[in-house]
Amino acid sequence: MTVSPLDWLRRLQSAFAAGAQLLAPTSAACLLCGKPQYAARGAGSIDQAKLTPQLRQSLCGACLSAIPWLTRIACTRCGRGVPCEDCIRSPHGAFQFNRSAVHYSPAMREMLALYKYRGNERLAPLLADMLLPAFEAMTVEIMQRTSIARSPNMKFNSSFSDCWHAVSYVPVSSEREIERGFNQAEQLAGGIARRFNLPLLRLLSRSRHTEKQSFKSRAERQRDTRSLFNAQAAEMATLQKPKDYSHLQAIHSSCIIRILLIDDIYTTGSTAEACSQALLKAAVLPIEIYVLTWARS
Amino acid sequence: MKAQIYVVMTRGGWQAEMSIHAAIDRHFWMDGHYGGAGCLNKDKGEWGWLLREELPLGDACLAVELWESVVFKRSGVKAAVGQQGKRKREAVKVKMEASCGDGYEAIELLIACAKQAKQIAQEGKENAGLGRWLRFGSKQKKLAKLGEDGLLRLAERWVRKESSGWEGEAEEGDILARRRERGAVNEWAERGERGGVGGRIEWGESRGMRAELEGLAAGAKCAASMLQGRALLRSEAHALLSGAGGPGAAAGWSEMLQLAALLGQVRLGGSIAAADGGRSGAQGRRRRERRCLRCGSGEAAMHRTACAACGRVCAYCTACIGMGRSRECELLVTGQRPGLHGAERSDARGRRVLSHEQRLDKWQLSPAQTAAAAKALQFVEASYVGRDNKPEGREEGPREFLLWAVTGAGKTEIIFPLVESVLLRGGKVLIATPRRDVVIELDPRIRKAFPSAAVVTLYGGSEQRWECGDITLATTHQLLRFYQGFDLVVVDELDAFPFAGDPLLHYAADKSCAPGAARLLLSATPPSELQRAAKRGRLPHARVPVRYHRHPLPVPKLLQTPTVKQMLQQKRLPAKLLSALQDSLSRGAQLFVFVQQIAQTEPMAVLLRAALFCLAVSATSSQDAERTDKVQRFRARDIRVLVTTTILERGVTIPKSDVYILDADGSLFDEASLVQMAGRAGRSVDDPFGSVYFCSRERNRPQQQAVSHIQTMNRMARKQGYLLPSGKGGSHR
Repeated sequence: MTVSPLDWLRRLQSAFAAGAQLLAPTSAACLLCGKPQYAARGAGSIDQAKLTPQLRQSLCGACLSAIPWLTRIACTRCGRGVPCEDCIRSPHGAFQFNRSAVHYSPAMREMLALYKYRGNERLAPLLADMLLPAFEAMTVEIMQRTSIARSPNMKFNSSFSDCWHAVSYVPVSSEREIERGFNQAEQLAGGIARRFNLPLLRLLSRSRHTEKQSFKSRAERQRDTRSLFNAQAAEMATLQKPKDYSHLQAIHSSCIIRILLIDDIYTTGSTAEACSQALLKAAVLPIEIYVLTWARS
Repeated sequence: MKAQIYVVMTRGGWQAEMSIHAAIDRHFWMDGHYGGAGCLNKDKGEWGWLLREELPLGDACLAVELWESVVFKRSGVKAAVGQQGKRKREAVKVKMEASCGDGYEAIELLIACAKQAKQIAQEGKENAGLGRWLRFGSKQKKLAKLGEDGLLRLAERWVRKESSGWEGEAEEGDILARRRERGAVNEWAERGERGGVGGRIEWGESRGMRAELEGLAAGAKCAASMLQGRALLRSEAHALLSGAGGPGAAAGWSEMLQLAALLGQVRLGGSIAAADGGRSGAQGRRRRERRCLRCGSGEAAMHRTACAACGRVCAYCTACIGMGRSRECELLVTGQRPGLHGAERSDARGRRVLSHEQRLDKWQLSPAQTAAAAKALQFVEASYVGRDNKPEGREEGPREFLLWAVTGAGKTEIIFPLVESVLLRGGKVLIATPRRDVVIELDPRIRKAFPSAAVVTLYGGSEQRWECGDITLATTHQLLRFYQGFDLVVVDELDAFPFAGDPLLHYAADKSCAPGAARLLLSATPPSELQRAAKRGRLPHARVPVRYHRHPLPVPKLLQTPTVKQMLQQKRLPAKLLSALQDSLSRGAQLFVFVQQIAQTEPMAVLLRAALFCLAVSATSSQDAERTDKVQRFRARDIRVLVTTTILERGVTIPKSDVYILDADGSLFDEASLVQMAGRAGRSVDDPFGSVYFCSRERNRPQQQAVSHIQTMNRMARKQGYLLPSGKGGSHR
């Protein structure tokens, strides 16, 4: 078994991080259940080792292991864990595919409600961190598809910025934003953008205020989301400015611009579809839109 | 949300105000007539300046505060009041003497204060930026720089509407006609054009408008009365008002709130505010510590995020987020409530014809209960009558009384006469307990005792969330939503989780007491500092050492057994324990079996089912969704043996029951919880001698303390002659 020096370094780094964590002060209570979390510290499985330290530190072992990660994807289009009739019946054409981090289980529903409706914004970085495994997996998938040569000594992070040109998010109406104080999709997208040093662009705006999606039926959702979003011309222009991407074009064989669109939940896909259509309509250069959502219901 | 600030000149001089709906304020100060409701403003303004800019709510409040503090410091009253520290904002309105022309000085100071407030919000520090105002007042130079046009760009000018003949309400129709004529030429129209930010509503002169104004005034009064004694966030106030279906409540709620605030009946402000004081650092800079005005949490609980509602980084309180989000730019509506003292009191004196004894008779209490109730009653009534003679300084905070009554003493019955006393005087009563189960159990008993009173029961998910009653039963968390709303606050089970050790709930309990209200603390096992205070005479208290049926408390028997873990591993119960359990079952008792851990409840139930050849064994814990149901079935004797944790240590009364505490030496069972669990046995008259077993490997201190606690209470009861004579089956041994 040969181990490259780079691998060694990486292991050393993770060992150091783990060692430092032993010294770190334990945060008082789990952000979800409020219980002191010293008891479940050792219960981490291999799966959890990949998670960010922040996520591991702010949640107790019980809450952490209750997260229903969506690792096995049955529908390559919408990222569902089970085969999906919806995508066969009426495929969404505007975006390439959707990937989600977790199943929208009752526990996750509660977690999202805590954040989105109760306004506990301390959860925002956790939710953003939960997107990471799915984000990394989808990046690898895209790279494999487009066969971007990935040289072994290329930095991990730089491969992400090669793959993605911009991160954007599904907007909420200004009424809702004032009422809630924040846009959950924007905060999630911000987390990803900061971590991988990608430009975060507000490419879309919502043209009218609609009722909460969660109160509506499937047909209503699809009808309502039609022409609900508008592309923001100014931001679109920054995206298409050639000088930003001149260095990329040297690397990429094609000059397709990849946009990552982020939202909290993917239910029927009509929001993602409407957003993507608006973007495609406004785009001058060829763009590809990929959707990353926190939960797949 | 955002708000505007303005200065207005009334008879007393200039004053600064914050508004969430400035058009309402303009009408209030410059016109003051509300259709049929008449003139609501006795002290109309002459001039006013409204700052056009909308500030984050917290900044707006801070700017007004700064304005007042500058004016206050400049005026000569510093010596008189300044020494006593913070003046009460609501008590005296600070006014700037009216001798400064058209109020350029007032508005310029306001502009400077707004700037300063924004700076403080950004930097979290206060610097000496307003010092100039303190020393020199407005410099003419500054006005020259800004110019009148510049000022008009920043602020909107209000001028009093001519009101020569308006005071006569009889000629309303005529007045309206005149108003309509004048409408074209007066300054209202002029301002309407310039309207800008403040001019969201222009009150026209038509009859429709008049009706609207009348409706607004009625709505404001209605809102004020509904909000009395409450402290609600914007969304909660909104829900309260629209839930009650007031006139046009849903649409114009912010207008109504603003008018109610102008009328002095509610107070509006940010729900997190920078508290005054704090340590001043170098160069006289002072850090302003933020504080949640709803739950009292300090800077440590604040979490700052970018806020779309106010457009800057603003803090929210993580401590009370379970009850809705309290944040810097979130409106906190506090309803003022006239207390029981004052005018009503003399009236109450006349009504109190019955003596204490006569009133106590009707409740048919046991001698021990009567003695305690009489003492508490005296205390409660003294806190109204004796307020005049008190020195000023001692009125801060509610007066406390500890009712230390053994488990099963009938604490609830003891408070009935007190509740009645307060209700008779027209006061409001709150009975708070930490646990939801207890609230639900208490509800029918209170309703039965006070059939004519309006009883409201509040807990998470309660239907009566926004109702208002004479008696409020609530979990302690619900107290966050009240402000000086009650004249008698009873805190039941004060040593129980989560009330014990949660400063947030203590703050809420303090806040809900009206000034001069009495607070009654109820417990069978008060925390040691309260016990000490009571023994040293610092805390007025009454002790009830005997149960209502006048039999002594069952004294726990100590039984040496292996640990629960071992029992579960070996799948075998020790012989001593097994025979005791079988005895209890055969005498027809219900069995409580307490264990330490939730995870042990189910396996223990399985083991007991097998060992006792009894199918009616069940387990429950805090994580059991069917807990309420299981307790019901236990009470109905469908379940004979219930394995549980400390979750059922209090508040549950099962007529004929025996108690087994396994692992009684475990760290989770302290003296208080052992006494409470032991208190589940022998509670009814029919079966006053239940048995209690502490089963453990070793005898530790809490067990011994619990036993001696119970024995002391029994001894005290015997000494005071509360126990039934042994001839009538009083003494067990």
